Amino acid sequence: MKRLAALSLLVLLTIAACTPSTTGTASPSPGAAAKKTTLRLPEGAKPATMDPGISSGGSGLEQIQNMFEALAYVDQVTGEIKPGQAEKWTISPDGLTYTFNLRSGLKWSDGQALKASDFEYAWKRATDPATKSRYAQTLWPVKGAEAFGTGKGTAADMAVKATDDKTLVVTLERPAPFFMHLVATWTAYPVRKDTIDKNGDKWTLTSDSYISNGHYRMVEWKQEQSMTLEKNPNYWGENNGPDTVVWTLFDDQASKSVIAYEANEIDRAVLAGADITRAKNDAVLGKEVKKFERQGSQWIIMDTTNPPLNNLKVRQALSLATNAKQINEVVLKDAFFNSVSIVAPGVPGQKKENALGYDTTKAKQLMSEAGYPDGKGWPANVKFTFDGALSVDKSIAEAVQGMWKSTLGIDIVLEPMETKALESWRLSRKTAPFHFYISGWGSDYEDPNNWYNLLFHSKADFFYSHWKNAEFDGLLDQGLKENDAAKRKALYESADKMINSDAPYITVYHWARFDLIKPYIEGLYHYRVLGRVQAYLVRVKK
Amino acid sequence: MTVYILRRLLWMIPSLVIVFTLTFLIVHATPGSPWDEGEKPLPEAVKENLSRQYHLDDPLPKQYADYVLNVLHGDFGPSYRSTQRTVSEIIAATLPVSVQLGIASMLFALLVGIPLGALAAVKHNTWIDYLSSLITVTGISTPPFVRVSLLIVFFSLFLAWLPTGGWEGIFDARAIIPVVAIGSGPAAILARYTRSSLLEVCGQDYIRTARAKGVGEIAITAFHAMKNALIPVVTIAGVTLANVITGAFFVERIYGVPGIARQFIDSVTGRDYPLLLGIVLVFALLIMVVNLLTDLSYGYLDPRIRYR
Repeated sequence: MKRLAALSLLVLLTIAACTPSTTGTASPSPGAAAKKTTLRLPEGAKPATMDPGISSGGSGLEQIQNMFEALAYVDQVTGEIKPGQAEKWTISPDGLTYTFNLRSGLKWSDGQALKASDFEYAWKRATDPATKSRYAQTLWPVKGAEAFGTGKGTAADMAVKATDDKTLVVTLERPAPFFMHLVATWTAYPVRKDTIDKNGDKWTLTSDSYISNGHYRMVEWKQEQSMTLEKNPNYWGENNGPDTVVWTLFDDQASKSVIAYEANEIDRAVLAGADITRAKNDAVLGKEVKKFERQGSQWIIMDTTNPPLNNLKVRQALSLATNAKQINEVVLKDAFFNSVSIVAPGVPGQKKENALGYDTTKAKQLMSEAGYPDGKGWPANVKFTFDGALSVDKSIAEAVQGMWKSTLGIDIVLEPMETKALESWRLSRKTAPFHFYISGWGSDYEDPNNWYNLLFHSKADFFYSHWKNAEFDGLLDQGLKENDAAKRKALYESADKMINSDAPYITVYHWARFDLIKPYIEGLYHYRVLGRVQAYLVRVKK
Repeated sequence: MTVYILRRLLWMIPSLVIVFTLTFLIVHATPGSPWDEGEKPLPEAVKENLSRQYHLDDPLPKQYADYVLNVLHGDFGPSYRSTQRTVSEIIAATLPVSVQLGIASMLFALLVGIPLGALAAVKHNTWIDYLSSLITVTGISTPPFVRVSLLIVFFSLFLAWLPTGGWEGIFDARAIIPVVAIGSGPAAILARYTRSSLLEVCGQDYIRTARAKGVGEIAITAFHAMKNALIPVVTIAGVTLANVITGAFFVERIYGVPGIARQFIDSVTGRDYPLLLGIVLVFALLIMVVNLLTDLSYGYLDPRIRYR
C-alpha cells in the first residue's frame, strides 16, 4: 500500500513540479497595486465571428459592441436614439434622405482619422453578397441595397455616399420611420478598408489588424479561451468603465459560468434551468441573482390552413385553454416573464388588452361550437413538434398536452426532434402542413416593423403559420410609411387586436435573462433589447 | 520489416477514402444547415446567399469532387462557423493541444495503471487487491464526463486548489484535471489487464524455476514475469487510445481545453461539414498510425513474432 501511495503521489508531483507557480486558488489577477480595474465576464461558445459586417448578433456581439460605435446608438437605459459618431443628422421632409454630420477629430483605435467614407465602405461591404454577411438585410431599406444584396445591382447604385470627410448622405428606397434603429445596428458600424484589404477574413484575429472606433480596443483573442479588451485612448468621448475587460469563452455558458463564478474566476454568470432555483435558495448567491426583462416572446405556432387548426374557434379555444401563467410560474419555476400578448410588451402597437387570456369555460364552449364537444370527433395524430434537446420546450409540450386534455378533452401527439433536424423541418413548413411547434422572437430594435411587418405580414410569414388577413396587411403597409409616431402606433394597435383575436400563435412566456452578479460590480445592466453588457457603464468597486 | 511497414502504410489510403466518403455521405444526409446559430432563425434570403457563396447548392457529386480535389491540394476548405479561420488552421491550432493532452493522459494511465495492477497481482486475494479492484472497477464504469465534473466539483469548488477550466499548456496546473479525468479510464483498464496477465504468467514453470533457483520475489516480478505479462497489456494500451480520444471529446468541452476533440462536437452539432470532415480524417489517420505502432511493438516484446 505504501508503494501504491508513493507511486500515485509521484505521478501527481511530477505533473505539479513541471508547473509554474500559477497553482493554487484561482484568485483574480493581483492588479490592485496600479489601481487598474478589470471586469471579468462570460461569453458563450466561440464567437462565430468578430466582424461587425458579418455577425448575426449571436456570440461575439457583446465584444463587437464594446469596441465599435455607429453613427448613433440606443441608450441602454431609456432606449432613446443618441448621437454616436455623428454629431447630428437631418431627415428630409419626405423621410427619404438622411444627412449625417460626423463629429470633428474622430479617430480609429490606431490613431488614424475616421472619415465618412469609412461608413460608406462598411455599409456597402456588409451588403455585398460576397461578404457572406449573416445580417445583410439590415441595410436593405437603403435605395439600391436590396438589388445589390441579391446580386441584381452594383455597389455604385447603393445610395450611401460620403460627400466629404464629415458628411454621409443616405437615400432610402421608401420612408422607414425605424431607420435610425438600423443605423445603430452593428451591421452599420464603420470598418477599416486598409486592414480588411491587407488581412482578408483574418483581420479580426489580432490586436494589430482589428482596428475599431468604440470605447474599447482589442488586446488579445485567445481562440476558444478568452478575449481581452482595454480602453481605447482614441475614443472621442469619456470612458469611466473598467480599464480592462476579459471574457472567458465557455462552450456551455449556462452551466460552466456558474461554476467559474462560484470559484471567483468571473464577476458575472449566466443562470438557466435548475441553477436558477438553486441560486435563489442559496444564502449567499440568493442576493446576487438578478432577473432582467428581454423583449421577446415564445410561442406555440399553429398552421392556420391545416385542419382542425384552420377553424378560428379551435385556435381561440386552444389559446384560452392554455394556462401560460401556470406554465411559467409552476412548470418552468418562474424562469421567464408571464405571457401578456403575442407581441412582447414595450413594442409600440402591442396592447395587453388585445390578448385572449385564459378562460376555460369560454374555451370549452368554443370547442363544442367548432364541432368537438368534450373532444369528441377530434382527429387522431395531431402533432406537437418541439426541440427534444431543450428541457424547457419539453416541459411546455407536456404541460400543454395535459391542459388541453383535461380542459378540452383532446389528444395531441408529442413529436420531439433534434435541434438541427427541427430547423430543417421548420424551413420545409413553408409549403408542407403541420399542427404545432415552439419558436420565438426577440427584438433587434424596439419598433413594430421588427415584429408585425417582418414576421406576421402574409408576404413575410416568417414562422409559416400561413395566416392571412388582408385588412391586417393593409394596416402594416400603412404603418411602414407613416412618419407620425402617434398615428403609426394607432395603426399597429388595430393590427395587434386582429392578430391576437385570430390566434395564429399562443404565447407561452416572454423572454428573460437571469444573472449572478458579484456585489462589487455596479451598473451591470441588460437593456431589454439585445441587452449585451456595455462595459463603459460598469464600475468595479473593489 | 520495411516491406511490411510500407504495405501497411499503403493500405491506409483506401481506408481513408472509405472513411472520408462514408462521412461525407452521412453528413450530407443529416438534416439541418450550418447557418442558424442563435436563438432566432436567420431570414431565408440570407441563408440562400450563404449556401450559394459556400457552394452548398451545387449537386452532391460536384461538391464531393471539389472537396476531394481541394483536400489533395492540402486545403480542407473554410469553416462555416468560424468565418475567420480555415479548417487547416483550426486543426493546426487545436491538434497539438489534444496530442499533448493525449500523451500526458496515456503516461498517467501507464504510470498508474501498470503498477496498480502489478501490486494487485503480487498481493492477490489480500485487502490491497480488493481495494485495487474497487478503484479500477469504479474507473472503468464511470464515463469521463462524470469524472471530470466530479474532479471540478471536488478540487476547484470544494478545495479551491485548481481552476475550474481553461488551458495554459500541459505544464500548467490547469492540465491536471483533464489529464486525470481522461487518463483514469485507461489506467483502470490497464490495471485489470496487468493483474490478470501477471497472475497467469506467475503460475508458469519458468517462474517456478526462477523461484527454485532462489531469485528474490521482486526480481522475479520485475525481470522475469513482467516482460511476458506486458504483451496483452500493450495490445490493450493501443486500443485504449480510442478511449483517450473519445474521453477527450467531453473532457475538453467541459473543462474548456482548446483541443481538436472539442471542435469535433461543435462541428457535429453546428453542421460545420468541412471542419467535421477534416477532423474525421485526422482521427482516422491517428488511429491507423497508432495501430501500426502497436503491432510493431509486439515484435520487440515477443521475439516469436516476426513481420514479413
